[in-house]
Amino acid sequence: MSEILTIASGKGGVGKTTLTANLGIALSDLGFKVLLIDADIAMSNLSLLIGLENPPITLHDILLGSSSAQDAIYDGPNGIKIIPSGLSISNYQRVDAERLISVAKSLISDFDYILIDAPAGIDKNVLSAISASTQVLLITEPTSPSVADVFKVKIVCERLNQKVLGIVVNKVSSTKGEISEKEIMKMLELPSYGTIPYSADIRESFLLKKIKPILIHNPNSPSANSFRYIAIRLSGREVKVKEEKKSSGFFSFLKKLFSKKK
Amino acid sequence: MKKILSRFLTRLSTKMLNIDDLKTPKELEPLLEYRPVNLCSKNLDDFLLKLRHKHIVNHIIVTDLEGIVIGSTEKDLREGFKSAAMYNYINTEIKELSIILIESKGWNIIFKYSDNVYFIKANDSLSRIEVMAIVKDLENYLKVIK
Repeated sequence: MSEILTIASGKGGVGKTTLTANLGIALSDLGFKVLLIDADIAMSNLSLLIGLENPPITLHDILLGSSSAQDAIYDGPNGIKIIPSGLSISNYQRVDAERLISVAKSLISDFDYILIDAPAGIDKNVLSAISASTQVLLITEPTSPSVADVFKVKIVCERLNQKVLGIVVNKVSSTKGEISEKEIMKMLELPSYGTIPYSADIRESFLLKKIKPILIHNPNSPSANSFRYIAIRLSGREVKVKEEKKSSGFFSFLKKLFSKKK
Repeated sequence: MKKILSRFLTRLSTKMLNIDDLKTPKELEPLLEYRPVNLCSKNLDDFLLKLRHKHIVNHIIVTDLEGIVIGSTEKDLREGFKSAAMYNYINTEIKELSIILIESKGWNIIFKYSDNVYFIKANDSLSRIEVMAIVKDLENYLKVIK
């Protein structure tokens, strides 16, 4: 069954666009037909990450009613399709964001997954992106401000009667002060679809002359594998669970002792 | 003795392993007190109070097209009659009317859905998506009690 999945976070810079692009590629590699929609109509940059330069027809034109959705679908890497958002500020102010709901629903029969990259915040553009979906996937960093904002998005989803599928925890580096994945799951009362380690590779991929998603730039990196794992979990395919190596020593003993307490 | 030893080992391991994620951050505690609103109710007025809380609006009044109040969180029932009258009056002038928004001590939102006129008072103007979410909840409830 086809799914329209909106990726939202509340806070900006958490990794919504990165997750949308890489998750789309990972799902496409699994054999699914995937469409990405850049619903960040004010601050769009999904097309930059996908390597799409100056598309003539964008989501702005669809939402203004001057073009059809089919005319704004472009080819992306690894077989994915994308509807980019425009860069024009005047168009952004004129568009009817609520039209996104009918646009996404009109395309659902052509794809297995439509991934919508939501803007930051909880304004009417975000509400449109959430309402256009069949399910919402939340992404957060393991920090208090990010978790607080994602919590607000969860409340908005409940108000709109939209189902929240779960969370993804991004930029995990296990440094002091970070909130653990388990704790975030407990606070939000949601399952986790995986964690993505904080990685210099992802930042590097943004610094290239032509920006590339990490799954293309460095497909064997731990971050790339995390995106694949999330895609597999989402699609409901079987996951081979790696057995943890049994470690020994005083620190491992202490770690074990206290992790049992949680 | 066991407690003291446990506390000592926890502190020691937290320091040595550089772990600081054993407790919920204090700044998030107010948010964690939030609980989803359970809309189950046998009484329409009680349901509307819960609905008002869920959608963070001040008042919800539902009337039929004649202005007869079906349910209200407002004690003054004349508000419902006035909103239906206003809707009907403006609708005679503007045929393709969808929502009336009036800014007066907050926002007054008046619209028709199926055979009912809705009057919502909120601190902020609501988008069509938010309005429809309220309507859906209410229509589902009305279907059940019918």
